[in-house]
Parts: sequence; structure tokens; C-alpha cells
Amino acid sequence: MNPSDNSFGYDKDDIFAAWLDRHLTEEEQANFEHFYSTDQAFSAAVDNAKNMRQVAQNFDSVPVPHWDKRRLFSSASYERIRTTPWFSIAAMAMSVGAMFLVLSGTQLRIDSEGVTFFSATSQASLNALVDEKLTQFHSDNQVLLQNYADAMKEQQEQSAVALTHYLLSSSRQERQADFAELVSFINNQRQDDQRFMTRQLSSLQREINSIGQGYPSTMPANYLMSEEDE
Amino acid sequence: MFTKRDETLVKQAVKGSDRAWHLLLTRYEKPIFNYALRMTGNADDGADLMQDIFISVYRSLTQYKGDGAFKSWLYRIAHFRCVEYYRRRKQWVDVDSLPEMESDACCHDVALHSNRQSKALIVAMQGLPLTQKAVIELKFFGHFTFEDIASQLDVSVNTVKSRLYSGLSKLKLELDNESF
Repeated sequence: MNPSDNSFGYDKDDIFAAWLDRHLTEEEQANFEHFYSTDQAFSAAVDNAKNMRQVAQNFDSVPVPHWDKRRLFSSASYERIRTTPWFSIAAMAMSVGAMFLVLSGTQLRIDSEGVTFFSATSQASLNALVDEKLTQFHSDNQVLLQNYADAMKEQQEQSAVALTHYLLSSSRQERQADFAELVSFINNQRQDDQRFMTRQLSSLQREINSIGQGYPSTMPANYLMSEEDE
Repeated sequence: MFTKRDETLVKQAVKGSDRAWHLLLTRYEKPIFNYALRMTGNADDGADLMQDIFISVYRSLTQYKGDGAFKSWLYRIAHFRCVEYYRRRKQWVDVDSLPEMESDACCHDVALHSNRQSKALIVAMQGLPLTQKAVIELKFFGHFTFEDIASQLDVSVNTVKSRLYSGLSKLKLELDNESF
């Protein structure tokens, strides 16, 4: 309905409301009667309200049909539901959990390895963790390789030193053996020379002795043969 | 015999007193049933709505802080349940644009207990939109002030007045039609 149809102006509205609430003062009662007698719309609304009030007062209340309120409201289980709203708490907890899963971007992955929960944030942290692990693995490998190279280098140096020592010691022994052989050879030559000189001297002495006893001074034939044998 | 105040009974019921709760129930079941009857126009639906209202009140009893009359709080819940009833019935169609209910079949249960005028009123009220019907119900049967009704329906006082005037005019036409 158009508001203009309903409104009697500020005073009429208030007076009508006060009349309905039965709170009219004497002055308002006078205004009410004045409006009722002069304003047709006001009087029609009042008549409608009076009629409705009378109908409401004469209304025969209908008896309440039977309903088992004792059983509905007195059972212990219902009491527990009312006093301990576990269902509401559980529903709230599950709602909060669902909100957390949604807000955290958690996703469910089902594959041959089973069911896996992962979230956007955990994925990022997982990537960071993998990168960190890879960096750590790389640096560890570098250190390990450096240690291995150092060990190899040290081992090579030790091998070189050992080889040098071996070569030096073996050369010295060979030289010692060569010198010993040379000395032995020289000694043998000297002994041969001494034997030759002894034989020459002996031959010379025998020749000298034969000269003194009247033997010719020429060399004997076996002397020449012995010389060739030498 | 002394009659305990509603607020006292509510406090006792909240503490677990079944007796206090049933006293409250006995005190208000008839007004609430007749409220539901006038709002639905059908005794069976009225009984269902009454049970819905009291179950809702029972579950929400701890939320009543006593800062207003229990009766106002009760009828506020009753209104919410009534709106819910109409929404269920009309599958989320705007309650203000609902067509009026069939008046021929709605009151045969009531006829056994009501006089002709009361039956005519119940039928006539089904011709009003829910918003106007609620205001007339609360004003003439609940005897609430405009401020109380505005608070219960979450609208302004002027809106309540407007709905009342419109509802009264329309109800007069409906009652005149019923009398013929």
C-alpha cells in the first residue's frame, strides 16, 4: 500500500499508535476523537483496528493437540545434546579444519605409492629443502673430491720419492758391484803380471846363471811358446 | 499459589530443571500453538511449527540473557521458525510474494473447537502476506508494542505501522468476503 494511504501525518500516526497501545493521554484522547470525527481515513483505520481487536478478543483458542513433550524434552540424551553441544563443537572443529586446508592450499594426491597430502606452502618449503640438500650434496662432493685429489697427489709424491730412493739405492749397489768387479779384475791382472814378471825374472835368472856356467845366451824355445800362451 | 516469573523459570531450566522447563512449556504452548495455527492456517502444520519453535527455544535457552522479556524473545524465535516454515514450504520463493493458501481445506480441524468468527479469521489471515500477518498477529494477539514488534522482526517502527495499516485494510476485505 502507498505510504500516503497509511499515513495520517506525524500526529495522527502517533495518536493512532498510542491508541492501539492504550497509552492515550487526555490531550491525545481529545485529538483522537477529533481526528476520528473529521478524518475519514483515520476513522476507517480505527474501525478496522477496533474490529480486529474485538475479533482477537473473541477468538476461541484452539486446544493444543496431544504431543509427547515429556519424552521429547526430558530424555537424558536430549539433555546432553543441549548442555554439551558436542555435535556443534565437532562441526565447528571440522569447519575450521576445512578452512585451514582450503586456505593453506592443501591438495590430495592419489597415485600408485598411496595417498599423499601436500600443500602449496609445503611444496615451496619442500623445493627449498631439496635445493638446500642439493647444494649441501654438491659442496660435500667438492670436499670429498678435493680430499681424494690431495690423497692421490700425496700418494704420487710418496711413490715418486720411493722410486727415487729405489733408483738411487739400486744404482749405488750396481756401481759398488762394478767397482768390486773392476778391483777384482785389476787384482787378477796384477797377479797375472806378477806371475809373468816372476817367470821372466826366473827365466832371466836362469839365463844369467847359465851364462855363468857356459851355456849360450839365446832364449830357449819353450820361452817363446810360453810367451804366446800368455 | 505464587507464579514464578518467566526469567526465573528460564534460569532454573538452564541449570537442568526439567520441571521449570515444563512449566514454561505449559505456560506458552497454547499461545504458541494458536500463533502457529493462525500463521499456517492448518492445525497439523501449526502443531509441527509449535514443536519446531519449542525445540529451537530449548536449544537456545542458554543464549537468553534476560535483557528483555522472555515472551518477546520467544516470539522472536517463533517468527524465525515461521519464516523458515514458509521457506521450506515454498522452496525458497520470496515469502512476500507468496500466493495465498487455499482457504477451503485449511481449517476443518479447527472447526471442531472454534466458533465461526474465529475460523473466519484464520481463513482471512491466510490471505495476507507473511509480513503483514506477523505484524497483526503480534499486535492483536501478542499485545506487543510497536517497538517490540519492530525489534522482533528486525524492521523499523514505521515499517511495522505501515504493514499494520495495510494488513488491517486487507484483512477487513478478507473477513467481509468470508462473511458472505
